Amino acid sequence: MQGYSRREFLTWAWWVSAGLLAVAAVAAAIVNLWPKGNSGPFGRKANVGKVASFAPASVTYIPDYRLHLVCLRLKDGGTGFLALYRRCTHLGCSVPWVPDEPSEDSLAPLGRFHCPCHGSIYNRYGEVVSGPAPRPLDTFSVTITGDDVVVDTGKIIRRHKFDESQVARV
Amino acid sequence: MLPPPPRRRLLESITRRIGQSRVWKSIFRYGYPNTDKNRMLVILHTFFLHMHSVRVSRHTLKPTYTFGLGLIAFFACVILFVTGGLLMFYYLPSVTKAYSDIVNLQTSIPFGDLLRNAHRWGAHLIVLAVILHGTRVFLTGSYKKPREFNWVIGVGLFVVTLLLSFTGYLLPWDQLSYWAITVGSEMAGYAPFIGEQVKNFLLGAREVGQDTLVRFYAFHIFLLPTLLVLLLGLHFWRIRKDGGVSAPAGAKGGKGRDDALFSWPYLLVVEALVFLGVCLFLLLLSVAVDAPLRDIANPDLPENPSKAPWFFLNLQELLLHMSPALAGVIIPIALIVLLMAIPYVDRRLEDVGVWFAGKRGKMIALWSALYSAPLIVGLILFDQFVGTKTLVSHPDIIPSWIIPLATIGGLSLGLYALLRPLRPSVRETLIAYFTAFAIAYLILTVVGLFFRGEGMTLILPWQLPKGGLSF
Repeated sequence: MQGYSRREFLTWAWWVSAGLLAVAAVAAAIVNLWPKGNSGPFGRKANVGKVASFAPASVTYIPDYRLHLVCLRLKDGGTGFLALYRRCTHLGCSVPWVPDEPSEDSLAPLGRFHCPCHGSIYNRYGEVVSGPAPRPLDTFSVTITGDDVVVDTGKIIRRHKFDESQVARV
Repeated sequence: MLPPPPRRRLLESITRRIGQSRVWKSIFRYGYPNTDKNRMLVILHTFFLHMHSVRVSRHTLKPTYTFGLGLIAFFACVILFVTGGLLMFYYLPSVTKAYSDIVNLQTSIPFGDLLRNAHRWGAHLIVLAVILHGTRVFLTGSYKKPREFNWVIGVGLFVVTLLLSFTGYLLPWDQLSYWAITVGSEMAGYAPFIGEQVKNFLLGAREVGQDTLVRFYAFHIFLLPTLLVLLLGLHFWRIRKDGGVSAPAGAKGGKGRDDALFSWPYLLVVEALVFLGVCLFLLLLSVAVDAPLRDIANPDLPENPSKAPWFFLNLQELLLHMSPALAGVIIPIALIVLLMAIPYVDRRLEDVGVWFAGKRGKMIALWSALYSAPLIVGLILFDQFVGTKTLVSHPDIIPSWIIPLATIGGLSLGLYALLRPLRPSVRETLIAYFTAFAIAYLILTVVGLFFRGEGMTLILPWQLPKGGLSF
């Protein structure tokens, strides 16, 4: 006679249940320990200042929210804001804005981001000019609400290159 | 013979009364081990000693065979548990309190500075001892059948030791801790596919912060020590099951023979001496040299240079020359897997317990070291003064992946080509590769420690900036 005996089938069923239970336990542990990503300065909408208080081509460091707020003059003459996450995309050092070093973009003669750890250099748009960084500085999305510049620190946005659509227009 | 003096008779009668009391006999079911029978019973019936065999071969106790390295690692571990347990009374894993707790330990708590230093230097000692112990086991061929799985457990123990050291490194929450862990976790983030998730899971957040501190503390004081104890238990169990410490065939005083030595007292005395030696060494070091403590962690201000702890500096040096995914994730994992595979590749049983498998193996090891050392130095200098990126910079995959992999592959094949005319045995080939990689590892660590300055530029050791060493 072919097929399984009752004993063989039940043994198999018990083992499979034990296995499923183990998988469920591990999955539950992982879900329990998964970070929520909204601790500290992250996960909120932060008002970083009035639109008029930022001059075009300026870069303002906002330490509380770990970002550099760049005020850009766009191609059609309008003004826009870009919020760059300060972490170097190479190995995570905080990249300072160095105002006296020569500029790497056409918006102003001086000023660029220069990471002290391995020498990555970024321009005002956050694009990599030289050094080991693999991609431009990450951004947070910016909205202009009335007079206020509001940055959403809930989501860190990666990009391959700068694009005017990433800028929040005034 | 004269009768014993009165005081001695009194002492003897007291010890006899205690030793024959019901309470004593309920705890100790044997007499003092000054007869062979009691020497056997003490080992079999004492919980804390029963991991030992009753008798041990003379060869096991030979200092120039094991150098006591496994014992050193184990006793360093015991001291770390004790000092760690005491430190827990005075430390809170909070970003606002951790740093001042460490300062408090160093200034106000009696013996606090001793505890902290002993814990830190003990941590460095155990990593070093584990590396040397693994090297000894490899070079004496003690991974061969039936000890293959114990070798694999040993590699696992090595990884757990490194993780314990890494998680502990963050806890003082000073600049050294914060930036070393930032760099280390970014390297983990470069793992293909799962890297970002693994990094977020480790950090508990987007960046190193309060969540990370709590997570690392939980790993460091509970989860990893539990794993360590489980693996250690398995490791010691396996030593007994595999017939004790390995020995070359025909070694004198094998266990089954009449000239094997009783563990009590011979082995236990050796263990006690090694333990005292480790204690003395750590004590002297802790009294003489303070564990480093820089300014409190400042996420706005990266340390320059930001160096990983010394046992990861070889990887940090490596990642200056190739893609971080390759240097920080793929190569280390590949090396761990290759290490674990060693006992399954070398099938020959005959040369167990012989250092370097004999005179030829010694020569092969020496020449492999001489092959690897100048090449590594040469490659570092080449990258510094010429650079792979000036040769080919587009597309980026060539200098970041293809050139480094081709170099490693090519040089490894070169070593094999040089060995072939000798017709080496499998073990001799393994010794050649192990030595070449070990020397490379050593040189990368030394360069990372003493020859990298601000911005990780290549400098001479006397030009090291303050804070350029990461211990």
